[in-house]
Amino acid sequence: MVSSPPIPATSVSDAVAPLLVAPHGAVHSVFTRAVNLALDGRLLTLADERAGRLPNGVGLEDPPDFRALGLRAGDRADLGPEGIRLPSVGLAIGLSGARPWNPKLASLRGRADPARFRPFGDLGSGSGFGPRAADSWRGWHAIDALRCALRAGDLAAMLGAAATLIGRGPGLTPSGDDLLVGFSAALTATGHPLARPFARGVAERARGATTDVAWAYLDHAARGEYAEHVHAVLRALLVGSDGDLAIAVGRALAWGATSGADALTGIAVAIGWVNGAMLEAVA
Amino acid sequence: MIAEGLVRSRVFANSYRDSVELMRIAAELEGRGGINRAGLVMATPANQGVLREAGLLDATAAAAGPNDLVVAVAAADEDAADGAMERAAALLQGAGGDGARGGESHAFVPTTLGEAVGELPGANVCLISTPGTYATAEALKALKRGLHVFLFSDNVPLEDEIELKALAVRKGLLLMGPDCGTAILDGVPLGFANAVRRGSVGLIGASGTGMQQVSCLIDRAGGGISQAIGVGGRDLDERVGGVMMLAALARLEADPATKVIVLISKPPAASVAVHVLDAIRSIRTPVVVNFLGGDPAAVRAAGATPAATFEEAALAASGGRAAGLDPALVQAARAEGARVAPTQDAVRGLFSGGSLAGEAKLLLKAAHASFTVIDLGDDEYTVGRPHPMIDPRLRSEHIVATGDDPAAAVLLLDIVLGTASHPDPAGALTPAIAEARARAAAAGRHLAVVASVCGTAADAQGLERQEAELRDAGAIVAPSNAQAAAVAALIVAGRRA
Repeated sequence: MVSSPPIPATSVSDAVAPLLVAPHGAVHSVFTRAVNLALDGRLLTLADERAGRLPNGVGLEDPPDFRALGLRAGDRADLGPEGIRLPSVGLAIGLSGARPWNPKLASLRGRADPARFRPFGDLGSGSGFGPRAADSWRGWHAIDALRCALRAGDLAAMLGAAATLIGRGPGLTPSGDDLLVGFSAALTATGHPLARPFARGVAERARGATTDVAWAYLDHAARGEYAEHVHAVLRALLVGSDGDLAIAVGRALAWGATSGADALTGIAVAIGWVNGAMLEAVA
Repeated sequence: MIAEGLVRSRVFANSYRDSVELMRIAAELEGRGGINRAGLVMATPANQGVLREAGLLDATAAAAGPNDLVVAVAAADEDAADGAMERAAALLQGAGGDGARGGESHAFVPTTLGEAVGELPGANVCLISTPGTYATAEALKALKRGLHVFLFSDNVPLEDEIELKALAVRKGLLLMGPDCGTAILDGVPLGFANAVRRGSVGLIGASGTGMQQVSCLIDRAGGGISQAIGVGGRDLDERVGGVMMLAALARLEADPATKVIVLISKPPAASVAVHVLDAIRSIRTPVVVNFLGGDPAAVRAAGATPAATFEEAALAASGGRAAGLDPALVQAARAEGARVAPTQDAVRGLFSGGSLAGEAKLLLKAAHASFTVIDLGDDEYTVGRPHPMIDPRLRSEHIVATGDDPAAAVLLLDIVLGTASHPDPAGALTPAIAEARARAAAAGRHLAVVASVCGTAADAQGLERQEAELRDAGAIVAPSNAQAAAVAALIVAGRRA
């Protein structure tokens, strides 16, 4: 039952384009304006492109209310050259006009000045390890351990600290995972030699220890792939103006309840910005 | 903190919900009667550890997997636990969120003012909360688009404020701020505000917590608020000229729903006071003026009713009269005073609201009490950290330190409820209060604690619940900040000879 005209996709991440040749997949999870599809053991997200492109995303313009349509987890998804079909609700996504998008984060080699985060106050207080969090203290201790291990260039210690953060905190993508994505992205953008081994080590440890959705982002981070809002913050931080940074930070903070603040905290900690909440927690 | 009570959990297998929804549901569960604590997390091993440490992990939650959503509560009894679980299930049934990031965030978050107006073409107010460096440019854009501006940002240069307000006046718009903490426009709270009834009293304030206190006390007296318009703390400065207070006065005079107007501020500059009082003379709506520490005679001469405290302002606007301290409070103050040593002669005020701190200072000074009052929301204390109405940790540290202060007779506190405030501000401070009292007791002293809660029964934190938590911690709870200051002064005055 596919009756309505296809919804045109506006973009497809290069990272998931190869998955679109699989003949079948299944709906993994359904939100009002987004759907995750499980394809060959990985997650592909259909979502409103205006919210920013995703490393595993197919961008849509003004998507329908998938929940109201009755789409359910486990429903079949068919893939073909012309697009994606969700037969249970008679919906098709047309891919022919979609622009490719490369989520790979390049090393920008600019100077990361921690002081540029100062106008945004204590980002950590808005994170999932903020003052309302149940285990704020333990989270900040792990973050401080991560910061110290990075300064010492000790990969094993970095991964040890990361293990405490994996799957920890509120949200569908637990705060610790969002923070590790931001932290890995900052290492990648600044060309740190431990960027790739750290991100790979985190993804390896996170498999089965966090949610599928969070793991998908850590898996992409291990491949050097990040969401557009993470790109924007790092580009502004390393080679952009204060105005660019304010806009990028504002946009990032709009992600989820705490996910944006978590990722920004990860970026900030990686470039040596010391957070007030962390100082209090570890004092 | 280990949760006390009956622990119950329920697993929603392979359940994916937007984080915003999850946190909203968790907050609602924690606010239910009989629920001591609630957790709502994905059951990853790390989060199961968090639940275990919080005393919320039972066998059901322990058996869940990382893609399962666990709702866990510690409840006073079976009924409360069952009710919370039913409510959680109902909320999760209706939830889902936009999930644009495969389960995170909303579908489209505008990143420019133009995009926002495009999404909501009928909008007529723009709330700006960027760092001060960028706020002027955004406010200019909003005014040029014909939007009233609620400018929450601080650190906006005075010259920019003058320019923005001049433009707003030319365009017939309101520029509320900068550093404007509170407004209620057509019943919609902006910034820090309380869930008050709609009614006939219009508030104009250069004082955030002052407006909150007055609006809450009007609500408690059975009245309601038509509009509450913040103008920013510097509006009555000579260089700004009170232009927004004057503009707001004109608007409320023209508003048929507003039957009484209350002005709340520190005393204006002399030249500004002349303009404001002239404007009051020229309008027909009755006006109550609370210029903290100002001259009541000048207010009376302008045909308005002076109010020395926020409580007096609220009562005057509601048609009531101050009845003095409740005898039960006087009795409690005497009892506490009898336990305080002669060497303990000082009130130590630790405030989260700047205007409430200012009012307490005036009243304690008038009572000739020895005191220190610290406004922990002042810039000096908030650099690099959230406001104490959001984050109680700094105040907790100060409270604990008061226990070691040999001169401290009374610890005086304000607790501010409402939007943007901490979800349980009283509960967050009670461990520190207990520690301070224990330290004082260990040194052979009695430390009295006096507090007032600025809030309403309809606030998410619950006025009664917050007051009960303070009483349980041994505090005397007064119905207003002014009465709390009076009780504190009484305790010091009545300490044992």
